[in-house]
Amino acid sequence: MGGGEEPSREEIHDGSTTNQEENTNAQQNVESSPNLPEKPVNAEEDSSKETKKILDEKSNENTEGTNVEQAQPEIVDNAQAVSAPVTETTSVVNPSPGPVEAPKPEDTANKDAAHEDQVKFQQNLEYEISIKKEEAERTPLVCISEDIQKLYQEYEQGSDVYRNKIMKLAERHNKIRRCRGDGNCFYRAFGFAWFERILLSNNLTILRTALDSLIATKTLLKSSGYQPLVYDDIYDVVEEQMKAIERGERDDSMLLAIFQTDDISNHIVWYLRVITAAYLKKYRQEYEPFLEFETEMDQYCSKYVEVMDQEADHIHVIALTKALNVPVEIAYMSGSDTMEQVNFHEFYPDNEPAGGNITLKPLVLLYRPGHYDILYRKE
Amino acid sequence: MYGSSRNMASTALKRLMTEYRELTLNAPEGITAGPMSEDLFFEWEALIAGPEGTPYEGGIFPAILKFPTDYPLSPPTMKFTCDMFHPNIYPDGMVCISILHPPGDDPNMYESSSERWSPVQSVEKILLSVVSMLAEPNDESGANIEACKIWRGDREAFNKIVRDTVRKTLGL
Repeated sequence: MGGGEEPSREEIHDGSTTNQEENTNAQQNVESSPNLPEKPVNAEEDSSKETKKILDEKSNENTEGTNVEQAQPEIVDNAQAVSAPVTETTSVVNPSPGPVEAPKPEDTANKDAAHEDQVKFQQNLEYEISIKKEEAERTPLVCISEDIQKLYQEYEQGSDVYRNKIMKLAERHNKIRRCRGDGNCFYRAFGFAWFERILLSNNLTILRTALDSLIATKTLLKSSGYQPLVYDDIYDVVEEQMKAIERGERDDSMLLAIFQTDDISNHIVWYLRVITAAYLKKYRQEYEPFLEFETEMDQYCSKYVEVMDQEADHIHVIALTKALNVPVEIAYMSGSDTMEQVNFHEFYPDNEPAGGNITLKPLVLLYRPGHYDILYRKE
Repeated sequence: MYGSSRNMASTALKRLMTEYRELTLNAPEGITAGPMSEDLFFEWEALIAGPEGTPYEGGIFPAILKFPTDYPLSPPTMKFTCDMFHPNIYPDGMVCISILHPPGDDPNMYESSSERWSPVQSVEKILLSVVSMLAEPNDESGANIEACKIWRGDREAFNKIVRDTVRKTLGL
């Protein structure tokens, strides 16, 4: 154990605890975006409930309130500066009792489409951030593993298709570990499952192989044109975590605590993103044909891979498993077909190490449309 | 709290120090930037020279960059501390440019072609983007409505206001 520097067992969250700081952030975001056009209907219901809940909580927290007040003016100013027309129409719809600016006549006269777009853009962005904050309150970045029955219970009121599939899944899998749906779930689930597999294998060869793969990613990044400046420090964070396992300073609960801690967890997520991007760029001829609208790979990576919170696609999964030489199996569970089985897709890197007798067992992930969690196979 | 927040700040600090070193060794023309002081590494002052052939030419514009503790995962903010009249700069000096926006999916595909913040960006890239922004305002993402209107409607008047502001900045 690393002494005072390490998170302790007490600091692990389970799915039900909420984080004070995140609550405060959520308040800011909900409050500071009083006018949100084009909300999906379901989300609106959800968010109004959440808003109410958050506001109730807020009234009990006078000290936090001051911060919220301070944070507001700037954002409100921006919205006010650019457009009143949007405010006018949406303030009625929106349940949030945040400060709604009265439209000024001269602003109302300005019906410039570009500005409305800008405001919508800003508001959509704020709305999205507020949704993510709400999600953050409910789910830690990585949760404690649960019995697969919990997954079944989630669908008790829902469709048979899902329930039947979960029954099938439960024949060979006994646990699920949820990850926060913040757009980073694939990378986070992969990262946690990988580190956990290495830790629990208690096998030095597996650990050294993983460390070697990690070290090799620096060469990959360089060859794909990344400046060491952008990845060196973040690489160090990831390597340090791997080396802490080697030094015997990690157990499973500490690993969980680390992945629940924004900073280290997000650094690991971003590093997995950038090696995914580097792999896609290196083999661009192979993967560019899969991109929509003839997007160029560098541009694609800068928009969808290198930036946090952007969901992973099929090619990202392929790229990451190959870049790190880690086999992954993904259970695809959607409600859209009536097949009873859950389809497993195998992502096995083709460059199995020579000799290959001591290789990592595949990580198992569960995919439901738009989201990844971690699955555990019965021993 | 445990050591991890120190870890985050130290990753940010290391990165900022590296960027500072790089910027002092190979500063792009017309740009200087560095921490306010040794103790205040998360706040930088930048000086930007107005690009040639624009009404900003001849001006030297000071700005403050503030970095979050999870830099470079999150972007800094940038605020001019002098008077700036520009469509993409708020009247209070805050710069509104896509590279400073945290990533987020944009349902309207607005600014779809422009660069978003990610750790592959850097202070240098931000400042270079700001120089291009001075030369070529983006009137689709207005921060200063007045400046937008005049820039679009009466370029001569816009140029004159900017030149006057520049003179004022230089104390002329």
